[in-house]
Amino acid sequence: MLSAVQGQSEGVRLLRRVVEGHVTTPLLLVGADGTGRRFSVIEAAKEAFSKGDPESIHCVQITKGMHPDLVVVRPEDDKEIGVEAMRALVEQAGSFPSMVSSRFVIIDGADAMTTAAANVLLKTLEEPPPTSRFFLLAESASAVLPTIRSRCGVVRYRPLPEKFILDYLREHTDDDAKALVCCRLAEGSVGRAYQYLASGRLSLRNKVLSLLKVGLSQDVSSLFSSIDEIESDLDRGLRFLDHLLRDLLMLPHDPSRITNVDVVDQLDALRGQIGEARLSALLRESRQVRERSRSKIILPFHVKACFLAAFSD
Amino acid sequence: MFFGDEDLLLDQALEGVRSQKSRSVRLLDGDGLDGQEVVSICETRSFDGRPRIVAIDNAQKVKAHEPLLEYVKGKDPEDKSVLLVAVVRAPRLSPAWLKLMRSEGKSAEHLQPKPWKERERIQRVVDQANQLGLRLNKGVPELLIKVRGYDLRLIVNELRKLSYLVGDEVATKKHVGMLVPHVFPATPYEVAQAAAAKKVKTAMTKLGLVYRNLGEGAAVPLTHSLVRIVEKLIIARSMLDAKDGVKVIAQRLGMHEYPLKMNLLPLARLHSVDQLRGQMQTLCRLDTLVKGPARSKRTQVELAVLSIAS
Repeated sequence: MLSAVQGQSEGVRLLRRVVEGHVTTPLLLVGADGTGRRFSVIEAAKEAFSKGDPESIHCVQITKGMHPDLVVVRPEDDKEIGVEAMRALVEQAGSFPSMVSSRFVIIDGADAMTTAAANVLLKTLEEPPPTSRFFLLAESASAVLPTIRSRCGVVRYRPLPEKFILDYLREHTDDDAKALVCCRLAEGSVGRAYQYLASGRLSLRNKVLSLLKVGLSQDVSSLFSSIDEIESDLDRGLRFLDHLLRDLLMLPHDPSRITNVDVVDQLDALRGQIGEARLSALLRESRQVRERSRSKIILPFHVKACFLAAFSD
Repeated sequence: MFFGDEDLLLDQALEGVRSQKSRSVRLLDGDGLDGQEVVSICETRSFDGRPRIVAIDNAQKVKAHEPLLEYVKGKDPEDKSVLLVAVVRAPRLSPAWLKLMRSEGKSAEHLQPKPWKERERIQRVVDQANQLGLRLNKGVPELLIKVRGYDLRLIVNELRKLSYLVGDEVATKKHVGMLVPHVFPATPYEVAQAAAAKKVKTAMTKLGLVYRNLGEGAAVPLTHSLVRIVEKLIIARSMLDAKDGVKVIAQRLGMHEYPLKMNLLPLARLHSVDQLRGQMQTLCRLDTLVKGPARSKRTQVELAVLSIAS
């Protein structure tokens, strides 16, 4: 139920109005992955379908992911939502729901829709069928086509407070330092923080840290091999690199705001070796690469070029 | 076990296995298959009691080898009821397959790698022509390789056409000229190679040909080829500067020593690490441009080729 959603009062307020039937316009829920966008829509669906009864068959079916009137569309192969998937969705949205008066449709990745797919959806969003409520989830509103954005009510899911995430993580680990690192790396996303904690993602952070050491050695071949090693997870690696570089720059000024508190000694040693000018250059270059990585660039090559440029004499 | 990267020869080997009339043949694709499944298929007797062949194509994709290895090791050498054939389509064997092959001895190995040396390539074309009963005049295999690139499958297609055209006569260069276009096609990789060799004119001519073949869509494969070659060059050049040997460089680049020594290292010596670092920046900009909605992508590609070649 919606009462289970924490730290997102604006989203909950609007979703409650949808549940009560006062809002029928499509909603664009914008926020980082793991801030509770998906969870709150699912909880809203439970509340709307079961009329507040947590024991009802609707809640059981939704929990098991098999409710016929909760439709979720995700990018195929984690890449994009294509036109075929969208046509099928539009057709389904026009039909009568099976068990409730109005179905919930979640487009999980509105920023991953192809232009053709978005165009297919436009008319449906303009005049949504009375039997369907649309919820579009995206990491950033600017990544969604303006024509789609203008047809939706935009709800921002803010990064969750550090205390909230830390409390959650402490339920799963006794290692406070690790919990703090995961919490700060997650940038306000409880889902991401838990993922870092549970799936050993910190080893990727350690690999990125060693990349900085390899970069210092000016050994092109080893540097490229190290980047190739994390090629499949380079997107996340760049995020970790950003945190590490920020920490390296922040270290002498405000150590309390460091993210990677468990490797402060290594960072301290690295800072002296790399130098502030190089760190700033690398941070600038890596942010440009992250910006460019939204289009389908050859990411490992860009990262290699970025390191070479920053570490050249 | 047949393994290597010469797909046509592997296909022919597999076809040879499939056409065995005296045995019941079961052909499997290794994709999505695991060792235990292969073993249970091997252990199943044929319906009519005939000896069986279990052939696995794309065997490099088979997962969890251990049961298969145990099965092969534990098999009675006198037992001829099942012949296991694996076609591994990879230039090198993975440690698991290597172990499996060694357990069966050298007789299990039928290597089909792509040859690097020109005379070996020519010999392979002549062998294929002989299989078709076609006699080739001097210079014809070389011409076919030049026209089609060293892709044995494409060359065999041309040989088939030639055999229809000439019948019992000897195929000459003139006959080849009747079958293939006078302007040789170019690949994006050839453009990148010519640019790396600092052959400006060749690079630009080939770039024009690639655009003629692929249209505006050529920008992406051209960029990828340039990226690939510049990355290889900078690794090779930096390792040369660090006085690393050919063997070490070949291992690092995953290349055979011969093409490395003959093709890549001479190109790497034409560039310095600093120049190549600059080229990487240029190519990053190009990659971003060609993947975006920018206009005049062709001009950007031409400028990048020129900056490497000049």
